[in-house]
Amino acid sequence: MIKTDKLTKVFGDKTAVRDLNLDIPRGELFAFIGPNGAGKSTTIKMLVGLLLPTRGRALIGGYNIQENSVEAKKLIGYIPDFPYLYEKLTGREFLRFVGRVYGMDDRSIVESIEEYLDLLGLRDQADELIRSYSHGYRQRLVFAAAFLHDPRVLIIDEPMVGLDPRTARLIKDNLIERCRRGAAVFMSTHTLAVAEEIADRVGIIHEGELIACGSLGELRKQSGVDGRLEEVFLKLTKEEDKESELK
Amino acid sequence: MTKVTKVTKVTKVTKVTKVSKIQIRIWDFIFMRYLFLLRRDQLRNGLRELLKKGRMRFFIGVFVLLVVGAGIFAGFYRSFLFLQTFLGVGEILIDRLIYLLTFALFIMLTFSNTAISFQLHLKGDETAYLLTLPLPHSIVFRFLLLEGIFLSTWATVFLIFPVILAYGLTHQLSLYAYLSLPFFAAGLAILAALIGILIAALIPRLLMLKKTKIAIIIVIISIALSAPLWHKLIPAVAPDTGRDVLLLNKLLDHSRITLSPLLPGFWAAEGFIQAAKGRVVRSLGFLAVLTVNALLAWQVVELTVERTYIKTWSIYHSRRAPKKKKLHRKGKEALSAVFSFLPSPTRALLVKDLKTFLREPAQWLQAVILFGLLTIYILNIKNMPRNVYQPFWKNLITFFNMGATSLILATLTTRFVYPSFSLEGRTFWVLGLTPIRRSAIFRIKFWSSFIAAVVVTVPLMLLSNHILEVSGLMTLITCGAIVLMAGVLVSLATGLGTIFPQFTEDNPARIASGFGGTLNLILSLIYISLMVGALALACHPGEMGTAAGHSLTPVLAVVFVLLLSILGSYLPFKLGIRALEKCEF
Repeated sequence: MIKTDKLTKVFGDKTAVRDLNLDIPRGELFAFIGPNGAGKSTTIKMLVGLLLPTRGRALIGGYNIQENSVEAKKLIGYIPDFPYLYEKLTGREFLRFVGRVYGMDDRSIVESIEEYLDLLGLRDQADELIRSYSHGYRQRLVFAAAFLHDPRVLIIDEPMVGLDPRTARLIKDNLIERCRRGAAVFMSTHTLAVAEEIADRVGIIHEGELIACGSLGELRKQSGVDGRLEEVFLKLTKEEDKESELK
Repeated sequence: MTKVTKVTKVTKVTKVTKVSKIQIRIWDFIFMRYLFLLRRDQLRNGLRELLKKGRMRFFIGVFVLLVVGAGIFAGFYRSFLFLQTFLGVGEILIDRLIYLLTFALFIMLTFSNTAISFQLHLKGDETAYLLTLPLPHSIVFRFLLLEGIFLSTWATVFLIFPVILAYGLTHQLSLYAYLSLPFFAAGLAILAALIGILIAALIPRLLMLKKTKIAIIIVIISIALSAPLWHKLIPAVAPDTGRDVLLLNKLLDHSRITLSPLLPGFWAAEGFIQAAKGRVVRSLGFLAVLTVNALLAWQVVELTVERTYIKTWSIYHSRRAPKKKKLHRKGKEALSAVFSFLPSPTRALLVKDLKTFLREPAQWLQAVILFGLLTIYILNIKNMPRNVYQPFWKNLITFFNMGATSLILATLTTRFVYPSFSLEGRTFWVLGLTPIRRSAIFRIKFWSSFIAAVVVTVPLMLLSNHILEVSGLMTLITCGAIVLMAGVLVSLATGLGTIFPQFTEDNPARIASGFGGTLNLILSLIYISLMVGALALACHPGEMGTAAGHSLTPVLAVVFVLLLSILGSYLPFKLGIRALEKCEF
């Protein structure tokens, strides 16, 4: 569902992402981790069509995001790290707008809005202006908007920020359930415990290059560390730093 | 290196959907409708909130707008009637006024559209959001283009409408003339918007080229530094001893650029004047010229900006911040050294504001361009007929220059000073937590803007006075007045910006064109009119050296000017500080 082919992005004299090759099939929850400035957000911005790659391409459900952006984006539910919300709309109005833009019919929009208002505990705030929402409620609303059209691809940048433990659990279960139903989830996060808990595969990006990619077991084997993902991550990125220094 | 990448060779075959052009058009229409519905909902909710929480504020604002509209109408109505009493010459002057109006309007609209387009299309967070939705890029572009036209035009239209109404009533216009007006206005606004977006779209590409960036800065600095040289190079016109009719001819000659058939302002003005004179076919001809050019500009924009919309956006957001070099560090140290006499927290706030401003070339370039044009105009006074050096004209032009300088200052305080508090946005808590009293934060913002305003406007007044060879007393009066006006205009903008903060809005153009920003501009315009009017009344007889110069009028006018300025600076200052102290964030 998500494929990248030698995806590269150069900012001035810095290569933010270099020759990234990924293939995330239906039903897989892929966690993308890496230190600050490693190229995670740049990769995500290329996947959703915001930044054009310097080289290579990104395919969503078989559509090239550059050439068939509308068709590709119809398949995506995107949750950015700093989501934009219309302060002078109510939560319900915002969700209705999103539903319309994704081509849903009025009946489906209403049904879907009611479903996610209940699921994410937003019913009491639904008719309040978004400007009055707390950070947590804003984050819930962003999830509701991303889930609304039942996307086949979910691209998430830092999913758990601002969510209370109950809602975080709910979101994790929802993501797993979506994968079971055939969706592909691309999740960038610094919360390694979440990645460890729900991801099928983990990709580690460091200084723009994918240095490791596989299931937790495979990563453990490669790093020679039989511990938590955190230890694996630290070992692999440390080795990479040493190699960089030697070069 | 441990590389365990599971890389699958990506299939080269990508899906391509075939849809007919009609289907695309229908979907485009539907998407555009959704975006307009979105704005409708935002506007409705905003208005409801305003009526619920600030009903009084809303009605006072509407009342002030109506009073100002009525005032502009009354002023122009009487002026047109007065000019009509000069048989033959009056109509020529009125027509020239219309040409000047459309000429100035087109330039102003092009500038404001460039700035607003840059902000809306390239810097706005909303654009980034809309570009992640399954909407064709062309729809996002067109929707924001329309919004840009609205944002840049509505206040101008509000100010122009009473002028045209006064013109219409004094010239007994036909129904056709009234009906044609919106078309001419729309043609002019759309053309200005299209040129504005073309310029705005070029900026990211220019910024991308390091050498171009340096070249632009060098050109701007060279133009600024060579200004005194131009003054010397512009040949002065030989003394003119002709009668006033000849002088009138020469003055008209100096505004002949507005009659250039290559300028869109001319097409709109000429078309409207022809309509007013009942020459429908000629009027339609100019409307056709305007329309054809707008369509041609649209084609150019569609082929360039619209097709490369996402590419331009991506280029702008792929810029890499330049590495901080030694020179930059030295500049930083120098900036802190300049303010070393200030207490550390005050210095930190001041340096922060200065850096933020200087690192936004799109912002300060507008100020440079506006004051640059004004400088060129003032330098060009040397080229005016020598009759201008007669006391009457000298006085008139001195006050006209003062009015023009303060008007540009009012535009800039509305554009830069008014939104400064709102732009602190979600990071305002940082200021709130600093060990500085809130009133001190307000004072820092006021004084830094005031000093900047004085530094820019006083030299302009000195230049104007020098070229016009006015007396020392007159120089003192005009420079003193411009300092007073800078104080009031900055106080109004800082005060109202604090009373009507919009912390959730990150677009200064939207903040400035909101309720508080419009109120600020209108109050500034009223203040400038009263100040310039009163001072002109006070100084005119004095300079002429007539008996009227010994009357009480100048004293009363000066007292009025001082009282008005004290009130105009004190009230917004106090109310602003009070609002800031009560502000929760």
